[in-house]
Amino acid sequence: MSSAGGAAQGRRAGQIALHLGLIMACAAILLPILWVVRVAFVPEAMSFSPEILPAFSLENFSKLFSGRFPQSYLNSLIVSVGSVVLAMPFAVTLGYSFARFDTGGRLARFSVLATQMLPPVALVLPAFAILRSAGLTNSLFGLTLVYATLNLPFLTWIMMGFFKGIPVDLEWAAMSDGATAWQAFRIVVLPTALPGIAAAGVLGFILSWNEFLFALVLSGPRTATIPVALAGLQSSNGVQIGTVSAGVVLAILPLVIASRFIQRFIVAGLTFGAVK
Amino acid sequence: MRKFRFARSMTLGLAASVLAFAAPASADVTLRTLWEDVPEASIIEKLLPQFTEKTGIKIEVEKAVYSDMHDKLALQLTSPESYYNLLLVDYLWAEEFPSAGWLTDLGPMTKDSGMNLDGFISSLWDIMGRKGDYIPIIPASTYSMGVIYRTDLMGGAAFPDTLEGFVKLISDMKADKDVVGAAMQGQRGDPNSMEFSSYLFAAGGNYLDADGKVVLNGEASKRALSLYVEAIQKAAQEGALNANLDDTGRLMCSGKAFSMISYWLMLAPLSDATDCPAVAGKLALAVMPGGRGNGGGWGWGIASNVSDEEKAAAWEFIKWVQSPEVAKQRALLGHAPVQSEVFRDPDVLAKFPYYAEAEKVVESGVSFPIFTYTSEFEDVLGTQISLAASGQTTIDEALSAANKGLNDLLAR
Amino acid sequence: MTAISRIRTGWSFAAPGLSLLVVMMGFPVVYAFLMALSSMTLRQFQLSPFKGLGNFVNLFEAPLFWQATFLTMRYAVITVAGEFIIGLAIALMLQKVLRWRAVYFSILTIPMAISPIAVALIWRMLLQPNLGIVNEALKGIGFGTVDWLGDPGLALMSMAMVDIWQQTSFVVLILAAGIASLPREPYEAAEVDGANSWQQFYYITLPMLRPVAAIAVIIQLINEFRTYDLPYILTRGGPGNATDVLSYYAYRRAFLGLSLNEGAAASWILLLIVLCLTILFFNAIERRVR
Repeated sequence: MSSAGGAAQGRRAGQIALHLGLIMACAAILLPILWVVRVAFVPEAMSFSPEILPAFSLENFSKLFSGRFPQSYLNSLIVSVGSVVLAMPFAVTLGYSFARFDTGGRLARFSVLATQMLPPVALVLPAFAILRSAGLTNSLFGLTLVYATLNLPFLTWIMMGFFKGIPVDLEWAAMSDGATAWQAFRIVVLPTALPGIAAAGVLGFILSWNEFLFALVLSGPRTATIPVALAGLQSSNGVQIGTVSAGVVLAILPLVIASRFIQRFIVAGLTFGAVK
Repeated sequence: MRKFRFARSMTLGLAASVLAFAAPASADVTLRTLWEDVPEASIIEKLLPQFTEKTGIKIEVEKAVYSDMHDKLALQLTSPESYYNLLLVDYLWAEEFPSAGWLTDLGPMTKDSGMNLDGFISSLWDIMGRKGDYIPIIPASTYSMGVIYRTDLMGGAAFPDTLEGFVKLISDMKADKDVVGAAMQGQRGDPNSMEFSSYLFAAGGNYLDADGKVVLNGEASKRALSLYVEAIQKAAQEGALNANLDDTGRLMCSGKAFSMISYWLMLAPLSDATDCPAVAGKLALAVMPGGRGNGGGWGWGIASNVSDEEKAAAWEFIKWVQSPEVAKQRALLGHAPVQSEVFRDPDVLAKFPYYAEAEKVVESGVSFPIFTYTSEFEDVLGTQISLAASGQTTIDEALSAANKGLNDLLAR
Repeated sequence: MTAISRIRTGWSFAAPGLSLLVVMMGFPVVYAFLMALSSMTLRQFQLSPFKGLGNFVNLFEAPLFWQATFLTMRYAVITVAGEFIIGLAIALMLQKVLRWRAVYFSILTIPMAISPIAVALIWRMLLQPNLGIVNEALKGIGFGTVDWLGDPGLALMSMAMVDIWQQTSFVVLILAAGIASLPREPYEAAEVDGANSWQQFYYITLPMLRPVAAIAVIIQLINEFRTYDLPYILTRGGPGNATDVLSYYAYRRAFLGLSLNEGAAASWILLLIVLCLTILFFNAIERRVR
């Protein structure tokens, strides 16, 4: 009995140590962000004051909303959702094919990965030239298309990883019952992979939401996305750090909220939910 | 042709559907322009309703950081039709843009409309690519560099008239008083190139001699760079090697610095008692010790790859904005004038007494070398200055590398 | 299923994605390569006349290019190592902790939601040497101030720190997913055999986690080699050349130097370096898995 008690005590000490470690990690993440939130709600002139809250003001937000920022917000939303929706079916099937059938062998996998590795600097110029001749520069559709393509290799790899983790027995069972490979995929594999798809979708959304260089080059003033708008707020006369912070706060918000909803899928998918 | 039209109507349809929430397109000409996001841009923006009322021409202003402007403009100016039609061109691009054929020659328009070209400060024409009747750019504002300093810390002493005296003064300030001697913009690239240029010209040096030969490793350059490095190491704030205009302005505003070598018009925002209570009313402007500093300015241009209607409308704007009345209105709001008359206007001088000194700063301003690869040269030069200032190379090594860089770029 | 029909089925799954990639990526990639061989500049927006390997020769003769290449490698190794070690530790803690797991998880994955541009803007504000809150805090607890981004000896590490702050969240996400998907049985068996946590980690978790870990490392390596937003906002490549990474170098060749061709050439070299690293790494992983 006493040894079991000792083990329980040891376990409790272990848990406390874990909580301490995680709380420290969370503090390292949260403190800088909280400071930005603080700067966003403090009048511009006091941005650099070391006091916690020298004054409260919404002027940074009102300044932000008087400009093009709301438009950029909508643009980012359209482009990010659009690109994920567009890319996901391709990524899922391609990832599945790589995971189960080793299609094209390592060469194909590498080629796909290699396109992801091309530095944006190299791709952005041909992309500009091509979209220009198609009349798709300065349009949200052009940017959506580009993001869908840019994220496809990454999403494919994520999906491949998830499919590899799903036991193959179920599909075999389905196929031995007479289902075709596509039927087995749709009926057996897809539902199991939903959490993976959700997670990959969130990642794809984040990538598109935050991409800077392509947006800078391919979008015009009316089609600017949030990172472009943020970079534009950083002005040379240097009195806008409050507005930038307000912009950062608003840029993070939908992702924090979205991840709240999708968290359920991710958490379930990662079996975090087992200890609910 | 039909295919082209199809593609175009498809694009328009797409654009219309994606942009349905944007303002409805107008049949009239709209001016679209990209400005650096500085106080000056807001000043002109305030006056824009007057322009639209007078001419019926609408104007959309987009503002950007300086470092983004070149690339954004270049991408539009290389496309079949530029999004921006009215351009604000930095004097550093005054060779690159015209030589690439991106700008409309404004010479004929100035003649037709009888614009008084002699009213502009003549040194500005020199730095903005005018060659006789060929005028790619009309001066819009100046940002020549001078010294902005705290009179209250001087204790009645006279402002030094040599670069050595100045560097000694700012070093002593840092050693003796509770401030740094100089808020320096030592970040590599445009910031430190511009700052070093002021040292170079003040020391009597230059980049090119009268024959266009590169003379960047001469004695004057060595003196200038040694003093610059000394200032960074003994008089500047912590982090000076990564500071840009933004940082120096903030530091000056907070009252923690004695001086900064900067664009003269920075004095206006720093003198604002609400934004900078610590220093407002305690600042003065001086020409670089040695009598000359780095000159510079923005000019109006018109893209060559836009329709004739747009060009005409853009010219209407330039005529309006540089007309004596509007120029004076702008100056009274704190905008940097380019016409001598405005500098000497009694109303303007009554409101901004330091404009008398400002005119001297502008008149004595010397130009950075302007050629196709000016932007790249700033990068090359800035890197070498930064290396020397952080003690990673010697003065001689840095200068000879910069000298070679300039030669190579000129020969390209 | 026969081998042939297996292959056919595999291709039928792969076809849509692969064709999209070939059309949408293949063309730009080829075009980028042509650009690297051409005389295209921002002033002369056309490919011809072709210069062959001239652009590459120019690069190889530029000491700055080599400097940027080695700097990028150092930066990638530092950041990926940091992110992986910290990320693995956090993922393991998340696996072991019994309460508030979802709360920790959502907090720890916030940074990956922030655009690198915003992260750089935030940290430039925080690390501002004279007025920034980090130095104020250091002063407050009795330390001296630090010139985070203006000291050539420190700037790269500061930039790496900012990157690790953000990118570790990606590693946590992927590794946590990987750990959670591991089968339970080996642990139960190990429990019965009386293996302690460390032994379970070393003999079960680590080997089984290798494929997922490989993906995390590869993705991060790719990411780091392409870094350009951080120096763009934080340091502009300085002081001196202290943070002049290859992507930023290529960017400047293309836009400041107006030489789209040399920018494309530098980007292609960047690509080749990453490709080689990845192949080496990939081989090592696959061999071990077998």
